[in-house]
Amino acid sequence: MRKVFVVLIIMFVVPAMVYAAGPPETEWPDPDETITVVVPFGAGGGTDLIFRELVEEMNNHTEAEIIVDNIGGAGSATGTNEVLSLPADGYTVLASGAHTVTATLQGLTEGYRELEGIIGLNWDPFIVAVHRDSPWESFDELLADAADDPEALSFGNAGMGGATGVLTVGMNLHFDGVFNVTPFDGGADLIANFLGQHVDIGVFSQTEVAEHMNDMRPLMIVHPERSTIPELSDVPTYEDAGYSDLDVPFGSYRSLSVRAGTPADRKEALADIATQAFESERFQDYMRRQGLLPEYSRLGELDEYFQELEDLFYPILEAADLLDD
Amino acid sequence: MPLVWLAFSIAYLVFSLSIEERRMPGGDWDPGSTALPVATAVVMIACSLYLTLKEYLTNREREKAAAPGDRRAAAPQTKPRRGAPAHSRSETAADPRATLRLSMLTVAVLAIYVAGFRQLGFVLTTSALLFTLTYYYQLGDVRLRAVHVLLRHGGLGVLATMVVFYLGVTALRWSRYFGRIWEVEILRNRAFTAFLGVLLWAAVLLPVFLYVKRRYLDGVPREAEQAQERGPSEINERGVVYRAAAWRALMIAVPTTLLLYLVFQQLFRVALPLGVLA
Amino acid sequence: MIDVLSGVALITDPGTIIWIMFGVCFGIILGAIPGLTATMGIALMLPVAIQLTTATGMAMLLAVYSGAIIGASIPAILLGIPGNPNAIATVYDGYPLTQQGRGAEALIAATVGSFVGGIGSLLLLGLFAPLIARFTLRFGPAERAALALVGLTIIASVSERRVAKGLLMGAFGLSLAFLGPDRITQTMRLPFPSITTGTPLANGIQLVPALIGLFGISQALYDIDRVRSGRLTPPQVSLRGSIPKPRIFLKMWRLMVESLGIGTFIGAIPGAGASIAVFLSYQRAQRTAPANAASDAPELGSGALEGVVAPEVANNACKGGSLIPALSLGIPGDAATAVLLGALLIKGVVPGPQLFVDELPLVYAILFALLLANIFMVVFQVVGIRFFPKVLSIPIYILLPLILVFSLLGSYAVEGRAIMAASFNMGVALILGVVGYFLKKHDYPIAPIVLGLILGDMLEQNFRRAMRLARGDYTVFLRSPIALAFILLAIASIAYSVRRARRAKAAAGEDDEE
Repeated sequence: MRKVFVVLIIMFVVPAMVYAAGPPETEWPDPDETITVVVPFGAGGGTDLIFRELVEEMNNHTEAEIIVDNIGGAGSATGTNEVLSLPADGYTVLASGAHTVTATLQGLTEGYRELEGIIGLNWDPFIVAVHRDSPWESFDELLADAADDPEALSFGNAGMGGATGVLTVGMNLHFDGVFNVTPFDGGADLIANFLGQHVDIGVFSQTEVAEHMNDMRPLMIVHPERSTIPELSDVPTYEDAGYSDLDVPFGSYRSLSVRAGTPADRKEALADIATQAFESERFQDYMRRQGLLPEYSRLGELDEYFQELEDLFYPILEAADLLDD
Repeated sequence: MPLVWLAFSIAYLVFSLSIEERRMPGGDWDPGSTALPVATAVVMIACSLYLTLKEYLTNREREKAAAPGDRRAAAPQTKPRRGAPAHSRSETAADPRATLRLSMLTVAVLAIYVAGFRQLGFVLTTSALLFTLTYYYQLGDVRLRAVHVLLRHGGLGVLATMVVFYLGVTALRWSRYFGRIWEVEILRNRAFTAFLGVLLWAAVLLPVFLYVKRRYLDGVPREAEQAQERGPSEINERGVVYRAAAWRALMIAVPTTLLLYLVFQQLFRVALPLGVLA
Repeated sequence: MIDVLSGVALITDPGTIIWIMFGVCFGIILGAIPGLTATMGIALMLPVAIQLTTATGMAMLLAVYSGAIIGASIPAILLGIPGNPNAIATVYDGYPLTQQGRGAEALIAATVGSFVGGIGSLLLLGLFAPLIARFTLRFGPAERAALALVGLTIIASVSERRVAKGLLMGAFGLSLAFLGPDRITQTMRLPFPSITTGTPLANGIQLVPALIGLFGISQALYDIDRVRSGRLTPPQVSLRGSIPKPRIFLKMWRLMVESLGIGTFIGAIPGAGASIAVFLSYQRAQRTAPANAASDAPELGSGALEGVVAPEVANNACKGGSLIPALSLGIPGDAATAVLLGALLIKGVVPGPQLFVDELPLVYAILFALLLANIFMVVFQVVGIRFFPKVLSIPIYILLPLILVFSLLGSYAVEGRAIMAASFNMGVALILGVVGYFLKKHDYPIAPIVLGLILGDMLEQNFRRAMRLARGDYTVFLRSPIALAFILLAIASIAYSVRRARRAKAAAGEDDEE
């Protein structure tokens, strides 16, 4: 009996010891390892598609394999919390952005307070639109009707916790609460209800509007510049529409972050890979086609940019009674 | 049972009242964040009150109906009506106390599994769970006398699984490493390396299993079956049955754990925690 | 016609057909493992699909989708574990059939149902997609809240004579559904918030782990007393000689048509989901079965083939249904079609009304791929049915631990890339497993819990949203003809159930509890 055990232990443990060392590690990222970019939203959504495009390009700039993982839920808090629960070794990267700021301010996650920036990517400005069958041809007309009978017109967003929620609440504040802000269950739900005319006004991303040009009448783009998408290039900016004092977040902002405490050289390496991908002809072209506006920042700059975002979002979330208290 | 539900419903009512009541800013038309939970709690309380009352009345009626002295008939009848399988359960000759012990063991082991999964890792917890359950299910009862065999063989099984697993994983790392420096693409292919790993595992495990089977299992089953036939209380004292059961459990737990890892992690990309192996 | 031909040409090359076969196989294996859902399978194969041509990639993804749905019926029938929400209602008659040794027969019935549902909804998709899509747009918050209400009335019919218990269980399911964030105001509804904030509970109780716990783990615990008898179910009758006659299925034509309609339509309503469809069709089966079956036919719930066919028709019809708004409006009907849409967008194809104008060949290619996938699905099932029931001949002392491990790992795998949330889900499955075990022992119906859990969120969100959009006017539910019809249907449904329960009670002269 005992002999068997000894034999077994020798058989198993000795080769294990020999192998345990593993291949030598020379550089970072280890070419045999996988870097995971966690997208805190479901597969197939707008944010997911942007990061998939970026990751595909990133794979051309490193030997390590880079993959996308979708961990959706609770706004973007579930995915963010997962990243914060994994080791700060640079092998897990979060697709962060404006959603990270809103989730953090709502107290759903420690969020950006426990994250450090790699690079900032772009803004995806939102468009305010009404149904083609509706009478309003411009935002002025819409606002005039809304002011006549406050809260009669419903203004739909894709969920109070997200970027569209912040935008609608912010706009409603600015216009003295003339709209009936109503949250829906995500972008797809909002579009379905909008196309069925159950809600009067909606806020959408440019690609969503471009897809539904037959049914949507874009009134203005909430950004100082016009869209780079040809079909949407004649949509007035909020300044063109005469509301230059409208001080709300433009849309959704996207960036890459890692958990705080990741070694500086690894962050540098990641930022190099991501920057090369960002600057590639292919990704730049992709952003132009999707109407995404580049807003590049690197490492420390991104951390500062997050601070600015917090200052911008805080009063709006406070007014919407969404802050963590 | 209705009383348990009554308690739960009241607790839920207290909870739903404790939720912060928030409405959307603007008009006061939203019923608010507590409305439906409170309504649900009220329905639950009403239903469980009704059921409690009904059970009480039924019991009292039975008590009255039963002849004085024959109190046992008054026991509440909670026999499952449906869900009882088509073929009779009586054929199993189950000893309810042994079943209870097995159930408690099962729940306890599962709870430990869930609690330790993240920290201890998939390989350790899964092999231990499979071993323990397979072992005791073979014995048909939870016996303290059988524990030392469980600990010894189970420990061996878990250790073996971890070592074999580690071997495979390290071999794959080397394979990818050489694949890269020699520029042999196939050595870096995920499916191919997974296949290599299986071969390696099989090469290590098969001879050991054949040996174990010949040494400990062939010939034993007859003895074990006789012991079972004599009834659960007669499980033999010499521990031959225990040992045979343990070896069998081990031969199931080790490869199953490795296979599950392959299916979930390699095929379906589920991120299984490595725990202590990391 | 030229579009049809060029569409067919897009996917009839051998490469594509092999991809479809691979996809179906992969989907069946995936679906047969509790906890792995169609959505996950499609997301998993997304990177592969992107590398292929658009038509081939879509064909492969659709094949995975089809395979995953039929795959889920296998553990539901043989082990009583609905691995994903599509198969919930298949358990009620599928598992009793297995317990009678007729597992193979049930699997055949499921295959027939799936094929009918798949092909039928395909036809509807091909012929009426834009029409149905436009109609489903009329489903706003008020209509959806009313639909959820109809769904809740199923509680009465799945609890049989135990109405009070069923109601209690339904409310329990609702109470679980209300945990986590209130999605209208983002208020956290957490017990002991100081401990639970920031944990995965903040995202609520997930459906799949709850299903696996309530059905799978509780059943396994219930079966522990069989450990000594050495077998989980009686030996399964081999297929030879027990193939159900085609006549049996032909007789169910009405039920099949109804389930097909229910499935396609519910599938086409964005966000409604297959789980409602399977329950509604099961309810139809319950009501029509006594009429067209012989008097000695088994009652629904104790092993009637109708109870397997109806939900399987419905869940496969849902698959075609959910593609209707996806392709013709660009709105995904469920999470799985959201990933499919993502795949199209990555390839630069914009779904929506234009798709039927600009990319007609692609549309036909997709339809044809779905047809092929359905055919391969049947082929693989027919081959597999000889082998699947063999699982049950594994000695129980091995099978039971395996079921338990698979149940836990399956609940883990639902969010398998998120280790924290996934581990939490295992805990949910285990706790609800133990709860389910006691409920079974005390003769409480379990299905209402699932209904409450599925419908709670849909009911609350849409009810409150409708109230907000109508500025507090309750008559909004009566002014919409669709909502009004649903509310009347709900009332009728309850009245029917009450009458049926009374009759059954009178007929039995009852000694029963309820």
